[in-house]
Amino acid sequence: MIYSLEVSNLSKRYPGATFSLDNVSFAVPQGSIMGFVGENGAGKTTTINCILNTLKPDSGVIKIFGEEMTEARTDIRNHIGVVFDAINFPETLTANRLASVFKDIYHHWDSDLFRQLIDRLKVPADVRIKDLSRGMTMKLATAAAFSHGARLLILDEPTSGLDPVVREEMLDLFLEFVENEEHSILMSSHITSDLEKVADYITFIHNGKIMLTEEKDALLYQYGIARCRSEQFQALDKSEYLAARKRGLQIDVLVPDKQRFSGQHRDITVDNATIDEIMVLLVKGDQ
Amino acid sequence: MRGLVRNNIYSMASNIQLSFIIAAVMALVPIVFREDMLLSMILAVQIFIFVVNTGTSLRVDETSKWSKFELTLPVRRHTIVRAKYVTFVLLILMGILTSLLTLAVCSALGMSIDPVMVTYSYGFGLTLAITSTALMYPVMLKIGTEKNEMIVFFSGFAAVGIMLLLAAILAPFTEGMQIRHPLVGTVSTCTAIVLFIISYFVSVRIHRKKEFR
Amino acid sequence: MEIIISSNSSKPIYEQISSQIKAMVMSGKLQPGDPIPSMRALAKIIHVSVITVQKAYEELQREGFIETTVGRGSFISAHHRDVIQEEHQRRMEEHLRLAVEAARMSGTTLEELIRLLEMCYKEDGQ
Repeated sequence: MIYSLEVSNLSKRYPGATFSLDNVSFAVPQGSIMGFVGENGAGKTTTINCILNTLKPDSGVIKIFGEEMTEARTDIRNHIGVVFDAINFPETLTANRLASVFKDIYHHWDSDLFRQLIDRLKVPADVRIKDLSRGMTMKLATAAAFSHGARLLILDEPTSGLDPVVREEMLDLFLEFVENEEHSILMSSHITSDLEKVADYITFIHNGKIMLTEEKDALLYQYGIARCRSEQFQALDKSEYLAARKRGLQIDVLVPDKQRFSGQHRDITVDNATIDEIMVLLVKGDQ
Repeated sequence: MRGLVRNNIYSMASNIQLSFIIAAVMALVPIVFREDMLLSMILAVQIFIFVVNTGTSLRVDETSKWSKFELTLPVRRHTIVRAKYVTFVLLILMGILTSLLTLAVCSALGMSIDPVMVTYSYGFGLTLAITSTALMYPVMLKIGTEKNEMIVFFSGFAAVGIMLLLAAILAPFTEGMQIRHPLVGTVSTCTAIVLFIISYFVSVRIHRKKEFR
Repeated sequence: MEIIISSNSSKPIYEQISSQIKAMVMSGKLQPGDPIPSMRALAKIIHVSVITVQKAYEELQREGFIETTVGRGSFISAHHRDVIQEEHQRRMEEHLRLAVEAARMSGTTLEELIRLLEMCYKEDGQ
């Protein structure tokens, strides 16, 4: 399996804070879309910042396209497209001016593609960025990320705050991007319904630690949430579940193999899992 | 790097336009009042006007997170800093150009131009502009751009202070402390340029270690 | 080729894709040699993740319904006749078992059941 991005044992501690990234490891297979999920403050943005070298990790190795990513490797950065959860660009620039700037910076800037994307996404080309709505700004940033020969897109909350219509347009773009099997996307998102639609893999992070990396289809169709009464839960073996949480009068238990579990415990109801429920269980459950 | 400089100019475009307008308005003063002293002051300030707004630009870069996005571009960190300093030089050149135009207009209108006064004006203006830029940028890199107006203000102050200091040091050569002496003007400008170069290297170091959230 | 995806169904999406393609092949809507979109193109068209389509295609390939060649894409397999027969057979068995179960529960005899079968066969079509 070829990986576009490999994060190994990434750790970072902010001085004076309890928060840290603790041995974060995961890898994005080439040709796939990986969703990066976690509650606010879990470490998604910090991880992404470390991957992109805007923060210096205390330890760990980041490999992109199989090579270690350092500040000096400007060649690799030509092939990484980034969208941060911010305005990203100088506010007084217009899309056109931004294009002329990027033409001089990126080795493989594709003006025609950029123009096409801007038109398709209906981003006005001569309006200053500060006069664009947030949705427009994100669309512009995405168009730019697509237009310089990137093979890996790293997106931090690219659809948050956008209305469903715009979100759908963006998801379409992402799927188009991975039509080329050498292209991959790592996107962090709260909007789990988006990920349920287009993600191939999901990685969960909580309190700076990776909880789980799994194929999305496995999470939705193989994993399950067992609803147990106390005695039923006590009777379970720890190896049978990943997390459990008391909720009201029942105990919700995350099991990795719904079929097998049901076979072994015919008296327990097992529901299909959603990404949201899995995340809540991982975050709030005891492990 | 060309792209980065182009970007810097674009993002400061409205500030630059404003500076040109202010400089033009300022140029009217000596023309209307025909006062040499005023001309000397105006020439100096016209150069400084162009770098005053850099603080605001840098602030906006920070809030929009452009300064973080820049790091994901296929450029080295020191190239980013270099592009900033090149932009500063361009801004100062614009200031010089404007003041030269003012000078030319005044001369064409028949005002008497005292070469000593002109040398002094440029010495003071360049020192002020170059020194305050040299001080301002690394400070903002280090402590952030929130207090950018204050930093610009204090940098300007420090620039004047440096000139006075040099005038005092050179007193034995200039028959007493004389700010307007050409020697003081020349030495100040050279000092300013040296500070500018040192500032570049300091900034590169600071930027290299800086973390952007 | 039209594929309908139901997001509320308990049937996994990859199963929905593979069973719909299988159905089209068996009903003749898709003929041997007909091209089908590449995995990634289909993923984009129906708005699902690539891996999901990949699973569906892998299953179809395994069961002999489609063939994929690098560079040329995916096509309905030319020699799937046996596979289709098997699939039809499997379905018949499945439905017949259900019928038998219902017959047993309602106390219907085998002869009555066979008569019912004859009636149905002669009714629909010929």
